[in-house]
Amino acid sequence: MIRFSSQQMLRWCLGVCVLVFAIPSAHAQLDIFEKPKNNPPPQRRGFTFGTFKVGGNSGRKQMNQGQRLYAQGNYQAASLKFFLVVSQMSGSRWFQTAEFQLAKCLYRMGLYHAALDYFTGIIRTGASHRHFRSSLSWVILISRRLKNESMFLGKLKRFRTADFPRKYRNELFYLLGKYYFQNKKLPLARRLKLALKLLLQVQSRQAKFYARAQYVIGVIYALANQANNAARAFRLAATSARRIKNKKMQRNILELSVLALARIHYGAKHFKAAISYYRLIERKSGRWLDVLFERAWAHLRRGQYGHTLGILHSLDSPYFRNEYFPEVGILRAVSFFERCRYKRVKKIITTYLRRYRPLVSSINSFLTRNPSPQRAYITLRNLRNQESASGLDDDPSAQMFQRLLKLTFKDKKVRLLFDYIKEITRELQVIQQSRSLWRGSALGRLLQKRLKQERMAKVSEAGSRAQSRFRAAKNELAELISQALKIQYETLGAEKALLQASASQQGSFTMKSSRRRKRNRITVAAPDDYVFWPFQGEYWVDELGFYRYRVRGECKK
Amino acid sequence: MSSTHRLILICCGFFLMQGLAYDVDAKILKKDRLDVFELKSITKKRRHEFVPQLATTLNDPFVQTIAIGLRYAYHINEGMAFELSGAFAYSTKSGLVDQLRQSGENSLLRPTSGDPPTAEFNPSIVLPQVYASGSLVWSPLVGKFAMGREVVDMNVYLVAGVGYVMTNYANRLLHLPALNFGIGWRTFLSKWLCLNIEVRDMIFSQEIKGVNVLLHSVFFNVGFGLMLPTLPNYG
Repeated sequence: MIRFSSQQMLRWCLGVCVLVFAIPSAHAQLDIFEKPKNNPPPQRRGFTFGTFKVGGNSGRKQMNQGQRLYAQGNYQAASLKFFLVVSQMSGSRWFQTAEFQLAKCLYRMGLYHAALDYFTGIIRTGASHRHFRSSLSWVILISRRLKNESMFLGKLKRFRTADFPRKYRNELFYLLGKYYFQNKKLPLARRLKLALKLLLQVQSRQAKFYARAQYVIGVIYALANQANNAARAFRLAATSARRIKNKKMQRNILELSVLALARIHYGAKHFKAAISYYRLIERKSGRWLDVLFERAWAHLRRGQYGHTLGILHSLDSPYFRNEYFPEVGILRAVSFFERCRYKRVKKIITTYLRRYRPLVSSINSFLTRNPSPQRAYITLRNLRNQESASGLDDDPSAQMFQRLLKLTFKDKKVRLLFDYIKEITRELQVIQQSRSLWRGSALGRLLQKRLKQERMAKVSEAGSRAQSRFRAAKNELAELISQALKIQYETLGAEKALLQASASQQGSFTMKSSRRRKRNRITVAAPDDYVFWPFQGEYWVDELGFYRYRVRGECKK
Repeated sequence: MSSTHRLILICCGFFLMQGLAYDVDAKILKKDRLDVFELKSITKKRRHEFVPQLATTLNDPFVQTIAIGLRYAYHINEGMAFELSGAFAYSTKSGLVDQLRQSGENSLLRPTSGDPPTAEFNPSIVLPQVYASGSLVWSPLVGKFAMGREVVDMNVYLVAGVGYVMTNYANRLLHLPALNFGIGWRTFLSKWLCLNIEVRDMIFSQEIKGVNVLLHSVFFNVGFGLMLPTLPNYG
């Protein structure tokens, strides 16, 4: 004889009810995804996860089904199963695994941001999460793909370094150190201290992280005005960079380290050493133009005006006509001024003002027409597409503006933000192109909402950053124009002094007499490693950076 | 001044010209000028050059020679180098000999001996077998040309030296001293590979039927030079 208590009876009834209502609908969903051709998808109202109760061991069922679908490569269906567990069984034993599996499904679907969001959620939970270490590995993988580590690094800082997977420990030390270094919310001294502490833990056996860590350490020391320590770190970065197998990365770190060493020497007024470091950067490097420009300054400070003017001649060559270097005119004027070539200086300044004053107006007009960051972003995006589609405009003022635009996109942060937005837009398109059932599901809607919010925030950030770049360029131009006017003023003063001195000495004075000069013999002798070519109006790509201007001086002793 | 002294002076002048050229070109700075002092992308100094090469004679209508050889040069500086070269030659009588024989045009063939020289065909044609030489190389001219955005460096060099030729004459092997002179064109395809094209004259004296005849073997050489170390030396 079987006996039931009233409580047991109630449980049985409830169980039967749940089985009757829940199992058919779960099967219906599975069928939809497994045999989409044979069974047309039902209406959206029939596909909501809130319509049935999940109780008893249905968590296990959902997980099993999800795992099976994942193994079959049906990531959309699997993601819905896992999402069901994540959204409705937050306290259950399946929750953590479902969260992890959901993130993996999203990654497989090409929704990297969404996946990163879920993996970051796991990391936020901490080392108590069953999949904390695996999630770290996944996060690093996705971050490498997206080239954006900042999303998860902020969450990592709370954890003990012992929790980091051994394989990724050096990388995480480096990334976290860099994160602290770049985190402008903290006071400078504190963030440098924290960054240094982490970066010094990167071990030298993994050269690619060690070299990069040493480079950041060098920058930290340089910011702390410890030039010797900085130079030592940069040298270490350069020597360890040679051990990196990835040639592109190796060259990048080498160049950065050498450039940093050159700048340290320049800052210490060791211009000769700075020049020799600048010379180490090869022409094929993307930084070569900037290096050339900085070298021109170093030559100017050494009083080698011929070298300076030669470099400026390279920067003016047709090869670099799309580059934006507004300081070139000022440098040229100063070089000629130092050789008392006042007429030439006045001519240079007049040309300079005629060229750059309209650009200030263009920037002003751009900022006025695009007051909001969103508007600025849209305009810049269109301009960027136009530029890549049609090349440079014929109008000189427009050309100059487009050069400035190019400079704006040279800003790493702006470029990253634009790429980031592009990636989010791509992911939104992936969702739009997915099956209507998945798109209309709670998960699909949630992801779309999050991505749209993220996109909006990033559009605003990118626009704002670009606007600030334009404002900075405008201020810089205004400063340069005022410098140009000062030089013009100084030139007039020098000319006046010259005239007065000559008049008092000789009674009658003509400017022509000032041109009487001593006979400067010049030589075209070149050292063994160099070759001499006369410049005959042709620009050869291999000669760029090697021009030497023989500037005739008119200074009177 | 004898002609020998004059010749020595001219040779010295050529060797010194490279250094003197700078002073000759020096001018009074009357106005601004712009020059290029370009760091050479490829240097030769203190580098070894190995050139496997293929050669053929240009000047002998009766003998066709194809030579395979190896040339080694050590560049002391950008301008000067020592060179050793050797080649094995495969020489054959050209089709012209048979044609002339068949047509009976013996009068067109080379007179070999006698006074007045006989117009009889000389059946014992000299067939060179081995060439070797040691020379001094001088590169007085450098140049470049552009191919798209790539600039290719080149230089012209002159060769002069002594040598050795082994010939086969009337089924006898003869070992003969020689002189060699040449002019070449070196084009750098990369920092370690260059294409060498040169014309070289091996001059040697051989006794043919009791008469010493000065023979010239003018070769057209083509070879790819491998420069070691593979990266240029500076400083």
